[in-house]
Amino acid sequence: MDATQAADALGEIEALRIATRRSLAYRLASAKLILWGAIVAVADFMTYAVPVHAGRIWLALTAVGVIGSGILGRRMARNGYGPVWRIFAGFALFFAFGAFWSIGIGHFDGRQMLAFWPTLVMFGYCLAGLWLGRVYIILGLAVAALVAVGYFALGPAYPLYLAVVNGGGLIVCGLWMRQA
Amino acid sequence: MSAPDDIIHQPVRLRIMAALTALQPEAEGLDFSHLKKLTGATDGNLGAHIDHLAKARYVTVEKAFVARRPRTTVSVTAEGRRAFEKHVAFLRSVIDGGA
Repeated sequence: MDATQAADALGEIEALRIATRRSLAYRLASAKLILWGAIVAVADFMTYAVPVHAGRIWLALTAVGVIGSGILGRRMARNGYGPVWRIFAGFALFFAFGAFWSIGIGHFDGRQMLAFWPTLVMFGYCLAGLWLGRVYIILGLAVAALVAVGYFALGPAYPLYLAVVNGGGLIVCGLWMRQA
Repeated sequence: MSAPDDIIHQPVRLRIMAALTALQPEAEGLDFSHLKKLTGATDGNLGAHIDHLAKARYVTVEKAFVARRPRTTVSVTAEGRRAFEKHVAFLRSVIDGGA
């Protein structure tokens, strides 16, 4: 074996290691994306159907999502992606930040809340994408743009529209990542 | 002077070992279909090379049913990880002109 062949072999090894880590991270994250996509789609639809109970519906379904993420996070922990408590700590920080601005300072109304939370989540996805892969950045920018367009362009059907673009977007992305 | 590992040296087996050693030691391993996608090998070819690596005790193969579907998970052993690191050291020594 000469130096060129050895360098080619090392290059192939490094490329495969990067592809493996990324692919595994995508597969492990896909279940969480699908879970949250389903939760968001149901919550948005229920917000449209029974708007008087929107707050309680979102609280209950968000709790389901957090618990589900913790359960799914155990598999990520087994594969060396950090302990499960980090997932709960991440959610706590995220919700505290969002609640501080949307409730504490902004006093957002229902429609503003519907636009604020998904764009905040998508901002997080864009940031995460800088480390985890560009699919997160594409998802974050695309969904945030669609949420903003709907906010200005649509009337009372806005929650239904969000169920499709936000919930559906997460589910489609999760399904794609599952086979990545 | 280090020497190549004749088992790992073969291209498909090198790719299998590169993928498996990219995981953390405590990780679950990779399922067959995932490994097939990553290595670009065919079913039969991949199976034969995994058998070869298993006989050398470089990998372990676990078969189970998940949601009523058969699932084969391949994991690298500590011995396999050491052999792979040694082979990588050999490749580096070739580049450095030491082999």
